[in-house]
Amino acid sequence: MRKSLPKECPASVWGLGTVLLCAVLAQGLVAPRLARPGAAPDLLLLATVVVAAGAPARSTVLFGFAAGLAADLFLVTPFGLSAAAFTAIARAGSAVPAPRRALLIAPRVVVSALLAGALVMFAAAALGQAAAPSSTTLGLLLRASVTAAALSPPVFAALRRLVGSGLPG
Amino acid sequence: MTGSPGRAGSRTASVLMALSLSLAVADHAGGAAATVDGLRAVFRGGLGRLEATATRPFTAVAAALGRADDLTRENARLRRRVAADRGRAEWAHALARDNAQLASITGLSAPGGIPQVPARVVALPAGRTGSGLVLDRGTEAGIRPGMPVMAAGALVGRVVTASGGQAVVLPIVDAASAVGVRLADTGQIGVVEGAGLSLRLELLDPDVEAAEGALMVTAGLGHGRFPPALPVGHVRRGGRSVAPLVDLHRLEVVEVLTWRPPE
Repeated sequence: MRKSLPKECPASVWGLGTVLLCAVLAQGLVAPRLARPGAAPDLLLLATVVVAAGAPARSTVLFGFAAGLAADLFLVTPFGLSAAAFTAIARAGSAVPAPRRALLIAPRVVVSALLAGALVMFAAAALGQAAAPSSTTLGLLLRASVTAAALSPPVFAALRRLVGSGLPG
Repeated sequence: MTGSPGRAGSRTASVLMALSLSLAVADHAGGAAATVDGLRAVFRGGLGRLEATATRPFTAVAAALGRADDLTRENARLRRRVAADRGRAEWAHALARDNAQLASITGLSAPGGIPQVPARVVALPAGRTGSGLVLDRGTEAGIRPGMPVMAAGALVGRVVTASGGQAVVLPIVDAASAVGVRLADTGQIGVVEGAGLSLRLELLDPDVEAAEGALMVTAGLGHGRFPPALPVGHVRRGGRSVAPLVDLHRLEVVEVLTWRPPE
């Protein structure tokens, strides 16, 4: 049975809000320093995947939407594309069982980052705002995803402490 | 609310995805472009100010610790003197070499004599601050790794990888980027390192304080990665950071200088 926060628990709202604020600050101030040339990790998506592993489905979806809107502020692609992608990732993530160990969150982060990145890239290309994805751009996306995955176990453990019983123990 | 939490989540997700896509289409069509651009500018400006505020106490503490240790202070003073002497010697050497290019600084144009390859910036794969810019031209157009990239007469970064029809540029604001620079007016040598939204400035002579608004250009010393006199940015208040001349988030077309560092 999947453990989750009570649906209307105020602590979970404050907890998720704090997580979102931290993720936005980390994305703007820390992620550029973690980047290998050309591939900054997407910490907002990382937070969405981690939250999806423990919070209720509706809270996760709302978190993903808000994180996606915040991510759109960093981007040059049409405002809302990341929000759509993150919402889809959040919904999908909340539908699968939470990993029992922190390390097992990493593969989920890689897959989610690749899916979200590909969704945004293809949508931007379809709208004529970007060239069609190539091996170069996909390679950069893969590197960014792996960097995010490498960060995910400690983030998962930290959020488990912050949100308490809302994330799997 | 009726139904299971899972169904409620699905309904919410559907509504929010429809809302998101509507926003994207409206933004793409230009209906909300001004609002979105303003929102993004305010957001990035706020992050930049927050970054400057957050790092200020650490620099102050580091300075206080340095003052408390006489030996460290003496060592630092000697290092500064050596660095200043070295900087003056290098500056004198560079001055003779790039004298002919100083005129291009005031005009903020690319230095003459270096052939340029125009290229269009395609959207970033992850698109995050600090990510590489991807160009739609590559080795087929003569672009090679190491070549400087400019836009609107100012430095954008350098090519790190290039394939047949694409090239990836490491922007100067990337954390992995470091550029040798000098003050255009006084010639003081230093280094700017990428800090995400701005550039962190370290002058070789710590006794010298860069004036707010001073223009930084590439130093072009010895085996540097860039030719001399390419405009980089203006010194911000406090003299510790530099604002790039180019808004890297709004680039559409850039020029790749077909220049290679001297062997």
